[in-house]
Amino acid sequence: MASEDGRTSDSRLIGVAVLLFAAILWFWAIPAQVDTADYGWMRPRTLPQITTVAMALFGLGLLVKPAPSESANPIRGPLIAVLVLVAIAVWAIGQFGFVVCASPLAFALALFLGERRWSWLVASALIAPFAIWGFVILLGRPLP
Amino acid sequence: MPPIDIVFAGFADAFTFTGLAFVAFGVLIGHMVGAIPGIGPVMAMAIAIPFTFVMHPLVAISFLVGINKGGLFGGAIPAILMNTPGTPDAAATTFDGHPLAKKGKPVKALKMALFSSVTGDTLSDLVLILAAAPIAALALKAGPVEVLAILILAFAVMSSLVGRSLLKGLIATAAGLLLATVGLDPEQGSPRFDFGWFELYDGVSLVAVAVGMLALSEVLRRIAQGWGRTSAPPAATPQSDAPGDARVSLREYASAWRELARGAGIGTILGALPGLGSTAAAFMSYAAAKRTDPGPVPWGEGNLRGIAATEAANSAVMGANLIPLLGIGIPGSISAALLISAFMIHGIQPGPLLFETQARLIYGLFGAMLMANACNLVLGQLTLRLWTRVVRAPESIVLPTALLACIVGVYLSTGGMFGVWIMFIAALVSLCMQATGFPVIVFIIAFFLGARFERSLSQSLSILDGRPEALLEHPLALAIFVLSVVLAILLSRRGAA
Repeated sequence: MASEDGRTSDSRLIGVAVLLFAAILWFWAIPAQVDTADYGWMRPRTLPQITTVAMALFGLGLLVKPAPSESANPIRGPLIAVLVLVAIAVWAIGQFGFVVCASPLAFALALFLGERRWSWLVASALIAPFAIWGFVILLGRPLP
Repeated sequence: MPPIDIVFAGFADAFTFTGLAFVAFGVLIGHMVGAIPGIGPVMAMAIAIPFTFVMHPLVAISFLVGINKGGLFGGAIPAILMNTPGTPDAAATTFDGHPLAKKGKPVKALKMALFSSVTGDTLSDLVLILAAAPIAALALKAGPVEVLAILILAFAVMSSLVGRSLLKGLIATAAGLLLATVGLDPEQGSPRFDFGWFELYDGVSLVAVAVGMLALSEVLRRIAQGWGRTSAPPAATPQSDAPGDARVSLREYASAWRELARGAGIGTILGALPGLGSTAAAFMSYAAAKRTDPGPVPWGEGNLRGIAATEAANSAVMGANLIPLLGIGIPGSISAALLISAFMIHGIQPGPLLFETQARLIYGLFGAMLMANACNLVLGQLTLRLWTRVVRAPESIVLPTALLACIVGVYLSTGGMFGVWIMFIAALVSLCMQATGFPVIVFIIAFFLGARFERSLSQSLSILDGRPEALLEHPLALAIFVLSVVLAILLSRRGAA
């Protein structure tokens, strides 16, 4: 019963978050980012406003009638670590290029996955980056 | 129905060496990604789309269709060998496939899965070829109000069938439609939600969103799951030496004709309805088969007919998914939605007008689909033993490769790192949605259909002139609106039960 209550309150929190998101859209994002128009049935704000109202109504529905929520995610910590690693890698690829950054990224990910055999670590660091590089050269397209 | 010379010209366009090579390549990739649990044809299609820019539209779409068809069989390989489905739709194949493999007949089980997959796929392709053109002709008679009603029906059905909550499905639909409004407003031409980035004037990249939400998010999740894990590769399944245990005789194949026909029928019907997927079809087909007499081998103990039932059904969904896509422009599944993005990247707007403006391309696609079935059959038999090794490929090679392919593919298709960052953000959104129970598939399909929805809404509002009572002059549209509400509530209650 305790876990059921927990999941119900999770669902209500999600409903609150959706309502908050809809409020931000309605009171800030749409007025700041979408022009008004005084003519026509379909104005620039029409569909954004319709979808915002819909989200608000359905979010309110989640508050009133909570839906079953997912159980806690056991891989949250490692997932955040991977996200940070990949975000840094994407930034680095933009700054220093694919050829320089791809091998260290592949090596780091293989290590993260628990690979400890040196032959496979080196293979991971070399095969994928250079195979992709070769394929893209064949296509005649530039890499970052 | 287009003129017969256009039909023949379309088929002739498909049956070329280049077409055959790319279809075969796509099928092989599909086998491979289907065989590796957690990768799957949807991820492979999402990653491959950017690389198809340089191809002719027919070759590009045939290649993607080949990946999808190959993947439908590929998922059965680990299901049979390791009791781990490579794709969700192969889950039901484990019921009889793995027990048969444990009896020392893995190759027999794999071959039955292959033959059944090709049979179901071919039968539904024939239904598609015969049904799509008449449906498109009927759809052309529908006006904007009716089209809007059909879109709302599709969103309502998908929201209630996909995921566990109708409300979350509807929120995901609204969010997807909202994301589609980013960019220049189609009526007035003013930018919306660009936040000062001119790169967003053309809207959010379809490819970046598809790859980010479907491929990159899954790769990141799998990497996080594999953190610090040093598991040994699974043991190989022993193969009996008896010659009959490594092949499926014509008699054995024919003995499953009821399961093949029933499975193909169930898969075709479910595939034509948006939101229901190949997984549901496979389970329904197996459940139907279980109600019949199993014969000498009980269900769940390695019955070849059990494998036939599941594989025929899950493969039949693929061809049928294209019926609503080509007939009315609404994707029946996420793989069909990815095909929409491939069409649009090549400057082709999917929908009922395709049979009038691009009939030759469509019949070329039909020819390529039939060719892909033949490739599936031939290549599947030749490469079975190769894929039995691929299922044990280390994640330390597979996942970094997939991640780098995502980055490069999106960079090439969007022309810069901005698109790669959009992909990364889309992956973050997908992970958050999955963690909170929002259906990603519904969000993506709503995003893909957003522009069409806005256009239909605009035309409908003009036609109705802002008068709700004018809807009574469109009884079909009104009926479809009412049906949307009724179906959404009924189907979501069934799901909850």
